[in-house]
Parts: sequence; C-alpha cells; structure tokens
Amino acid sequence: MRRVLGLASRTFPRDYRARRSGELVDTALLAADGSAWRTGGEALSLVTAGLRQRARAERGRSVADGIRLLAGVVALVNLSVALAGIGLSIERPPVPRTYTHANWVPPRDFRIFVAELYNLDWWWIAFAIAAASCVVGLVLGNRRLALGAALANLVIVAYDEWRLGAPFHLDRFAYLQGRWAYPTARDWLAPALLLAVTAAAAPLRRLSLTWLPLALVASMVLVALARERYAFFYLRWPLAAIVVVALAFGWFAPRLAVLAVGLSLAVVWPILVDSTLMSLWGLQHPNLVIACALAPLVSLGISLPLARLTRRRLT
Amino acid sequence: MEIRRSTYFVLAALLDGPLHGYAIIGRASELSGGEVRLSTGTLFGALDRLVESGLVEAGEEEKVDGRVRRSYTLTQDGHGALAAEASRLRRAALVVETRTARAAT
Repeated sequence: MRRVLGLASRTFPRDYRARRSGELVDTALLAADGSAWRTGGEALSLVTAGLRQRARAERGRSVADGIRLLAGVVALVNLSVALAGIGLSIERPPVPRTYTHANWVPPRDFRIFVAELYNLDWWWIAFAIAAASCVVGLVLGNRRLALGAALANLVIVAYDEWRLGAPFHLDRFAYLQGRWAYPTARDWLAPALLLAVTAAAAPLRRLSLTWLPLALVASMVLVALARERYAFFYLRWPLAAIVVVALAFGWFAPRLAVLAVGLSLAVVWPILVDSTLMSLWGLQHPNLVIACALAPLVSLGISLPLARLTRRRLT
Repeated sequence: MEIRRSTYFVLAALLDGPLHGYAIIGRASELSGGEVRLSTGTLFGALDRLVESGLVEAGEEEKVDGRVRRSYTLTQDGHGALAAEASRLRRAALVVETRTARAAT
C-alpha cells in the first residue's frame, strides 16, 4: 500500500515532493486504514492533488524556463530527424519501376540517384553526432557543449542546403511522399537556427543522467510516430500536436506559450511559406489544403502566446 | 470571501488547537456529522491554500511512531475568517428560517 501511495505521490512536483512526500504518504496510509478500496481512493486523490499542484507550479514558471523547454524539444526533434535519416540508410526503400515526381528528379539514371540519396555519408554521421551532442550538453547543463553542438548542427544543415545543393540530404524523406514530405530540402534550416539561439539563451541546469536514455527513447518514439512507409512524412503532425497542446495550456503556463511561439515560427511557418512559394512557382503543391489548415494554427500559435506573455510582463 | 465547505470544516477542526493531517480528517468528519469526508489529496490542497493565505500556520515536520507528521495551527487571521464565514452562514440561514416560520404561522 505504501508503494502504491508513494507512486501516486510522484505526480506532485519534485520540490514539493521533497518537502511533503513523507507526510502525504503517511497521512494517506492512516486514512486508508488497511483497506484496499480506500487505498485506491486515497491514491486517486493524491494523483488529482499532485496534478493540480503541478498546474499551479506551471503558472509560476518564467519565460526563461520556456526557452529552456523549447531548446530541449527542438534538440529532441532534431535528433529524431538525424536518427530517422540514418534509419533510412539501413532500411532503404525499394526503387520503383516508374517515378512520378518528375518535378525535381535530376536528369540522370534514377537508380544511381536513389543509391546516392540513401548513402550513409559523412554528412549524416556529422549531423547525428552534432544532434546527440546537443542533447547531451542540454542534459548536463553544459553550455559550451550544447551551444557548440547546436552551432555545428546549424553549419552542417546550412552546408547541405547551400553548399552541396540539390538533391539535399533531407530529400530522402521525400522519396515516396514527394511534395507532402517533411522535412525536405531547406525545411530544417529554421529549426537548426532556433536550436542554436535557444541553446545560447536558455538558462541551463544539470539534469539527472537518467534523462539521457529518456531523451533517446523520446526521439525514437518521435521517429516511430513520424514514420510513414519509408519516409518521415508525419513529422509535421507530431509537431502540430505539440503546438496545439502548447496553445491549449499556454494560457496559464508561460513556458508552454514560449514553446508554441518557437515551434510555430521555426516549424509551421516554413511549411506555410514553402507551400505558398511552390504555388507561386506554379508547382503542384496542395497549398490550398495546407494553407487553410496551417494559417489559423500559425496565427494562433504566434499571436495568442505572445498576447499571453505580453499581458504577463505588463501586470 | 466565501469559504468552501470542506475548507470551513478544516478551519473549524483547528479551533481547539493544533492538529496533524490525519487528525484534521477525523475532526472535520466528526464536526460535520460525517458529511465532510476529506481525502488526503483534498486536505493537503486546502491546507496549502490556507497556509499560503496566512489563515493556517504549518509547524515543523516530526516523526512519531515511525510516521512523518506536521502540526497545523489556526492563525489570528484564520480565526477572523472562520468567524466571518460562520456569521455569513448564520445570516443566510436566518433569512430562510424567519421566512419559513412566518409562512407557517
């Protein structure tokens, strides 16, 4: 019973638990009076009270806490992109007999093009090392490592997109989905820039080392969630889900408001711009659907949290 | 300021002197004739709010018979708030009682 109540008390914020956990569990044990049913009821009441306490603590968080959270989320997503890219080198998609996405296929043998596209070259290894180092730096609270890795990550992404030219390394996510894929081509420049800025600005603190395997698991889960058949198509939907959750709770939690603004600017906005530009160039992009779905999200994602943060600073 | 029913009985339980968490649960149930049955989560939520608003003072944590407990004491402001709430409830009850009695005669 003590174990069950101890587990239930873990829903309280860590600092609160450090001060009150013993008192909470012992009082609940006395109130349960040895009955399994009452223990269940007491455990449920502790969970509810713990979540309420967390919500109260969330309200008191600062914008700086939000920047730290944003850095962590972008670093995890960045690592998942690197892992998904390497995964596609190991499990290559089959080469189709005919290729329909003729708008960007280069004028050479398609099989050679595919072999090159899925080659595990120095760029992917460097990208993965930089992404992983950034996560390690953030967990250890080591600014030099986190910022250095984030800047290296930015240079690697920018090098691919400006120096190496088409086909871009991230185009491997577009193999089967074509214009629907994300991230492709230059999509990842804004998140890489955001990662560097937040790693420089966030007030870092050392976390428990158990966060390292947890971060790896979270990245792998994101890869699994985002993975479409041989592609990474759905990454935009997990990210959109994060923005929606951040928007929903950003009203009372400033750090979630910062998360919503950051992700909207870095991730959702480039998709919208890209879809509009492709439409202007006359390419077959489902811009109308994307614009209709994303425009309200982007507007809300930026304006509502900003309004919330501004009101907080003024009062 | 209106006080919730459960909070009212938590404050009332502390009228006779400092009590620890489990004793407050028992005393509140006793005072309310068994109507207010506080769970630990509800009790500590109420106590946190009361301590924050200065109506209750939390003592130091102590270990008795291997169990961790902490005593809670009603402050002067707590006495005042409880008296004000009791008076408000009395006035509210009086409105109904006088009208019911008038209608019966």
